[in-house]
Amino acid sequence: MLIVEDDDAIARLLSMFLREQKFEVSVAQDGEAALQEAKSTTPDLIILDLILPSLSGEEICKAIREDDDEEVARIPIVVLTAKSADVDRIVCKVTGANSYVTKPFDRQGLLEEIRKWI
Amino acid sequence: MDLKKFVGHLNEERAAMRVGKEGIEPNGLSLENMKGALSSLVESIVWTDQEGKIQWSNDPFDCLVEQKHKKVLGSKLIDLMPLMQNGHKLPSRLYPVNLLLDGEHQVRELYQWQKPSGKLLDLEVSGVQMDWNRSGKNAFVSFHDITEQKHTEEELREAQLQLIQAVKMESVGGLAAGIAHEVKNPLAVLQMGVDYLANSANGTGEIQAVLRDMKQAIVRADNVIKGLLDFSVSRKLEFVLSDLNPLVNRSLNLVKHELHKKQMTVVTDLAEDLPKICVDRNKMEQVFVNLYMNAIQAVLKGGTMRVKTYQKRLVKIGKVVGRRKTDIFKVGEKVVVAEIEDTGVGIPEANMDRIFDPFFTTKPLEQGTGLGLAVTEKIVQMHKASIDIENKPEGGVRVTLMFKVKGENG
Repeated sequence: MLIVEDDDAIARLLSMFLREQKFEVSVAQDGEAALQEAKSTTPDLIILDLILPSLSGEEICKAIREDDDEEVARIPIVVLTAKSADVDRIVCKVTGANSYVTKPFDRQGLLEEIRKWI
Repeated sequence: MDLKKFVGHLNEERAAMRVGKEGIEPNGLSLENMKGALSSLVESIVWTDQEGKIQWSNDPFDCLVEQKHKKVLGSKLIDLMPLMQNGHKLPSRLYPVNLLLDGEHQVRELYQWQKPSGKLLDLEVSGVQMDWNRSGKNAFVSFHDITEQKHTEEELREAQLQLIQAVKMESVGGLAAGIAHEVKNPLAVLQMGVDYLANSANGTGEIQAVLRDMKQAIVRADNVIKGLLDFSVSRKLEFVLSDLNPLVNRSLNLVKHELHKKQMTVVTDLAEDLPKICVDRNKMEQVFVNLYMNAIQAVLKGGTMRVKTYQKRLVKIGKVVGRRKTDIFKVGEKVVVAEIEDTGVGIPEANMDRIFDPFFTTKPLEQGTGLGLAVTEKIVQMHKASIDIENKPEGGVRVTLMFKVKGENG
């Protein structure tokens, strides 16, 4: 799966945790890199932080959903959010993300969301 | 338009007419043409003699005063158009036409005038005085309707103010959101770190206890951030015409579990046919949930929470009721009221002044951040409503919310 997160520490810990759970993980630190990675490797799942430098998480979400390649457009996306739950619920609906997890999240919560899609 | 020039032309034409034969048209202009031209102007123009009686008016003027031309001729201008300034009737001598006839050569001012049909207009009145031989002083007055223009200017100003407000909120909201993000990321790291340690530590009771405390601390910090984000209300409020009672019940539904846990009874007394009010449903639900939770947390076990809604007309001057522009409500205004009462411990008088202060709380750590009432008050203020909290004589607290009725007073 692909993690899109600009915070080093979070990316590191998250990768470590997910690899422990036997997932194959790659990391992109900004929107452009994420889109490139998504198109070239079509990961099974994308974990996307909404607040990123340059392209925002919402824009990346939309870009993926509108991609010409069907395989890419259908990749499940779980967004990591820092705002409040109801704002993000709406954001999900608007951008086409599949679900959201609010920071700070616990492992179980994140795993549950991931397991829903792969 | 330059009245003086026009009048100058007229003058010349009249002179030319006196000299020439009937029908002669020097420069292709005749008095008839001139009159025709003047009548086609959008501006209303009148020409009065030295007593202020109308000698001539163009068509737009007749339309403006809503009179037939025959009636207009010979009438005194000030009788046909009683002017006002700043809401007050203009004293006779200050009328533009009288100022001109009294010696002023030119006038140009703004006035208000109410048409016979009722519409109130903003008029720019300008005039000149001409001293023609043999006929004494004459006044030429023109009226320019700037009502539309004024409205547009006011709307523009209002829009500017709103824009400034929105930008302010956005920057405050943006700031808070930025801070929230910068704090939430480290919190996320801490959370994941604690999770990792908890899973891999060799389970000595002490280490696990420490990790548990750390986890709790993270949750507490997170709650404060959540409260902060709410407090800055970075989202715009979406006002919708709504019924109060369903909102009251929906919020009640959200705290059902808590009420049950405390074995509290709820009594509702919701009036029928309440007028609709303008609210942001999500935010107002938040307000009610906050107030219900305060009531619930005020008791140890059992007790009753009473929720009452009704409408009334305000008769007394009070904290938020008065006659001044700055009062939220005016005496005589109809309002919709919601009351939430509990049978809890009440609020110590010493604390009454501080209950709305951010971070002030008497609740134990895990229960409250002290932001609930601060946020509630903010939301209520943005609705142009009022909230009042007092101790009941028989014990417990009563919270009173008052809402403006849509359409009643604009």
